[in-house]
Amino acid sequence: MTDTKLTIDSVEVSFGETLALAKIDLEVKNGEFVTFVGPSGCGKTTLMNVIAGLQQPTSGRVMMDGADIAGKPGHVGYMFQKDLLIPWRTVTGNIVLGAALTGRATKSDRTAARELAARYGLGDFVDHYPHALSGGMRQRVALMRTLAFHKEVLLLDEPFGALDAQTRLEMQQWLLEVWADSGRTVLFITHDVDEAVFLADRVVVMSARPGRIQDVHEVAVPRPRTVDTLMSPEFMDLKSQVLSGLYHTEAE
Amino acid sequence: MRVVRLASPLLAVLLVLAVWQLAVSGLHIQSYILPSPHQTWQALRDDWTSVRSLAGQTLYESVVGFVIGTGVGFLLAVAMAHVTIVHRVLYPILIATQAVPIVAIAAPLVIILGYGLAPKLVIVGLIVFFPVVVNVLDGLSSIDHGMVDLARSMGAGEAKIFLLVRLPATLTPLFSALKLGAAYAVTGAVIGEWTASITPGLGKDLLLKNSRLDTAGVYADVLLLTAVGLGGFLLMTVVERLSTPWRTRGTARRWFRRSADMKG
Ligand SMILES: Nc1ncnc2c1ncn2[C@@H]1O[C@H](COP(=O)(O)OP(=O)(O)O)[C@@H](O)[C@H]1O
Ligand SMILES: [Mg+2]
Repeated sequence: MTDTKLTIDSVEVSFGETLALAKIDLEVKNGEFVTFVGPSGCGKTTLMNVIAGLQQPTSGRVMMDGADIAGKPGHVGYMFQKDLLIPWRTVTGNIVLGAALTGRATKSDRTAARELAARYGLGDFVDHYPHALSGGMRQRVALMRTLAFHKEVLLLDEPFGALDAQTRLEMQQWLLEVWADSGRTVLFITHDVDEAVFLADRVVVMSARPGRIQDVHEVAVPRPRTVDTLMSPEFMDLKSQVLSGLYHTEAE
Repeated sequence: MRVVRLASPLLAVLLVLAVWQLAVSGLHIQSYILPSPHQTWQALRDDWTSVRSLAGQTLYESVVGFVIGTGVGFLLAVAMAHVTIVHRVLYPILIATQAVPIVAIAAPLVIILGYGLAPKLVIVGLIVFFPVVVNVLDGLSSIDHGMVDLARSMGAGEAKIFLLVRLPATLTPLFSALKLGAAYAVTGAVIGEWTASITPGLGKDLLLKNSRLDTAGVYADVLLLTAVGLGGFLLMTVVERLSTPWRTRGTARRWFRRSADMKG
């Protein structure tokens, strides 16, 4: 199952006169974990919005399983930069949000949500409202909500950006575990090069004005990856490659 | 803590009564100028059967006017939030309705609607609807746009987004308006009875007693009107707590968890 899951085919987006994304081409394999790094404003979120169907591209297509999904919402699980938990829904209610919004959250949806929460350490919090959760917990719930939407492609936009360093490392390992369990395809945005290399099968480096793909790095570091991975020479080597690419862009 | 919280308003009432009583007896104020709390209570008890049914009438006007006024206010707010042209046209008109002195339009209302229940309901409605419009509009426009985008990305239709995302966000500001409105509704009903009524009610009764220099009776009516307004306010507070549990609680109520499991 290493066939192509998602094809971004010459996607361009302009807002009025400004070209936010210039001709993006990328193929993502089934089950692959791809991370995106790039200076702020280079169009990473815009690209996710296009794939999620929130932003109609000015030109180009996004093919998933043979169908063009550009500008058509409801085909992928999208986790935004902010956790966007609904304050009046409990943890369970937030996890089943996708089902509730697109039909009806059944009893079995809610049971599955509780099991998901229990499996990933939030079993005691299923009836809590979001305001009673810590930042890390909220982020977990947001990710569970994305998982429980049952889409094969997940878009995660800087999901751990607001967390402290230690929580962030825990969450990264947790995410890898979830990803390994579910076998889904992940597109993950970050501004943290360590995170990008640590998580990815491939790191996509983007450059700004207009946003385009500058480099794509294969990450041949073996899995499972642990804290020790962060110290390994191959990791360091890749990281410096990615960093030099980034600085090269920003120096321009 | 809970005991203190519940007891403090009671304490405040007792304080007011004590000051009142002290003022009357200490300054030797004549009872036709200011009756003592005791005399007021006496008047209330003596007159109870008639006053009770009059209060019922006033309560009825307040409640029906309140429901109509807040309902119309809510619908207007939703329409204004979703259709720009409705907003542009209605907003100045709504502001204008608030600039018109209520007492002044009572007379024309009577000419149009007669002396029955209708003008009183209109007056109560006019008083309570405006805060609802303003607050609900505020709630609808201050929604985190990210939540709407999130719902859209999941493929949700506008109706579902309205029900599950926009509507609940209006509850908190809505209840602020409802609490105010519940207290104002009684004032509206009294103004309505004074200016646009031949049917009896507590407001009308108050005027009558006033003209007879039955000051204790007047105060008894005022007390009762206050109680009705306060009751409305407290009722709204309770309903608010029940319908927006996430604001005051860390976890969902037990019965709610079960019903949520059943209805999804
Ligand atoms: N809705 C929009 N209207 C106009 N310009 C936008 C809009 N969304 C994003 N942009 C612009 O497009 C560029 C890319 O933004 P974004 O995708 O958010 O970048 P990133 O996520 O990489 O920081 C920025 O210059 C931003 O100002
Ligand atoms: Mg962004």
